[in-house]
Amino acid sequence: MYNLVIKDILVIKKQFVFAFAYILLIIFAFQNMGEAKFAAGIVAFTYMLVMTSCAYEDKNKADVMLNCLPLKKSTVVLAKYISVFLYFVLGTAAYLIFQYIIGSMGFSIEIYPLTLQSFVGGLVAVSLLSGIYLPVFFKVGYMKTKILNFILFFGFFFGISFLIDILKDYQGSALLKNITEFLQNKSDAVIAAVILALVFIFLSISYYISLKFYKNREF
Amino acid sequence: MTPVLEIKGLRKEFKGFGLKNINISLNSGYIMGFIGPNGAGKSTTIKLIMNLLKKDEGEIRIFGMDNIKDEQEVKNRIGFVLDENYFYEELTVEEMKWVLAPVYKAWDEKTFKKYLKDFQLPPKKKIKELSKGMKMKFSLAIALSHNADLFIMDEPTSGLDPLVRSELLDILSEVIQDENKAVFFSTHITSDLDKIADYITMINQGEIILSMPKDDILNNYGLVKGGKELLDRDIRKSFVAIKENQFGFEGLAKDRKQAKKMFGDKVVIEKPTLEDVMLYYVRGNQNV
Repeated sequence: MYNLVIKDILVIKKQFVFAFAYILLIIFAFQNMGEAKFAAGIVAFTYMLVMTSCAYEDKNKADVMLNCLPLKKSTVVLAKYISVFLYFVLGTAAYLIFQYIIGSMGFSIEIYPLTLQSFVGGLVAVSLLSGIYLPVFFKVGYMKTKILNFILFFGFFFGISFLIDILKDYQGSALLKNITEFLQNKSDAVIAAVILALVFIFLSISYYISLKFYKNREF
Repeated sequence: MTPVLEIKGLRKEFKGFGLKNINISLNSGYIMGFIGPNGAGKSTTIKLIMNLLKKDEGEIRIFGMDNIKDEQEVKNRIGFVLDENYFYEELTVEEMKWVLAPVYKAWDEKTFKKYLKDFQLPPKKKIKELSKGMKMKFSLAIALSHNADLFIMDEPTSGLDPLVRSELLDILSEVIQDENKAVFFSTHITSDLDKIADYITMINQGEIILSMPKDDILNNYGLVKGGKELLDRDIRKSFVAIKENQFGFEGLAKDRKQAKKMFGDKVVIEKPTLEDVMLYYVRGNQNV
């Protein structure tokens, strides 16, 4: 399994330069974004890398070769999911390192430190995007997912503000009140744990759907 | 003795094409040439063996095991070379090897290094920078470096120059010196098989039309040439196919000795090549 994850990194190693540069850019730019900066940066970083690695799978028709090897289909699928989280970790590490360097160089820009809230927010966003994208990729390959890719990525940014607007409209509803009350009584760590558990369940379902699709695919 | 590769009643339907009741049996120690024109079903058969396509019906057993139930175990002992490059072109030869080596239980680094040297494959070069011949040699080096017992090759010689083709065929002859190994080799270049194949299986329009020892084909079949007046309905039936023109006929007979007995000195009978046999089977009767 680890060799497939390393393979992904080797194949897209050039793309990493752009992805790290993007993280750097996001720290400098969008000064009014506040804590959402990290989420915006990490989502683009991870998504860019996942897309590129999926594109190379298609370009090289690698599924033919991978499926001639003594590899379980579940290993191939799981390796892609693990890659996503490895990119997430690398992107987070890059954000922290850049932030530290920029901070110590004394630039007159607002630096938003990585908080538990923004970290969880970023993780949820990356998980949602990948969790929706990967099953479709494993069903039809990269080329046919291009439109979905576009919709997902932009839908994500516009969708969040749309969602917030909707939530504002329903501010007084009983359900939202109950949820808010439940959350208010809990510490940040507990809330984060609940969210992470939900993310894990969502990803597990996504993985099983991906595997089912991949097992039924012909090459 | 359990065949290394045994296919029984294999069927696969596509829109406008289908494999119909494919039966193949290959024992260790032999090379089987799998020939047929483009689009005959060679690659489809190989993809079904490798479980890249889902079969509709039939059984595929490799080393006596089911190719799907025991997929990992079976594939550990298969060395494959495909018709084009399916490796990650962005990786170097060495990087690709790092990815592939841990996948095989019996990876043999020493043998791999030996083949890299023999084939003059530069480990630091990216796969996309290799020539077609070099890519095929890399594929072959991987196939030969994990103690495989069955080699499955899908048109490995297509698009290669005669020198590289000949090199590949020499290596396969060397591999088969070990009687525990077998090679299943698809091609539409029949001259590849003249040199190395022990068995010939011919496929056309999704059906196996012939599967027998190569020497039996070359020793028994005959290319008969003579005047058209010699042909009547019964005699025509005794040929695989006949090609006629205004001067006479040329036909492929399954039994050279019987043809000699039938026509005596009125015809010329020659030993056919595998290409002749394939062409007559595929084209059928022709009037030019």
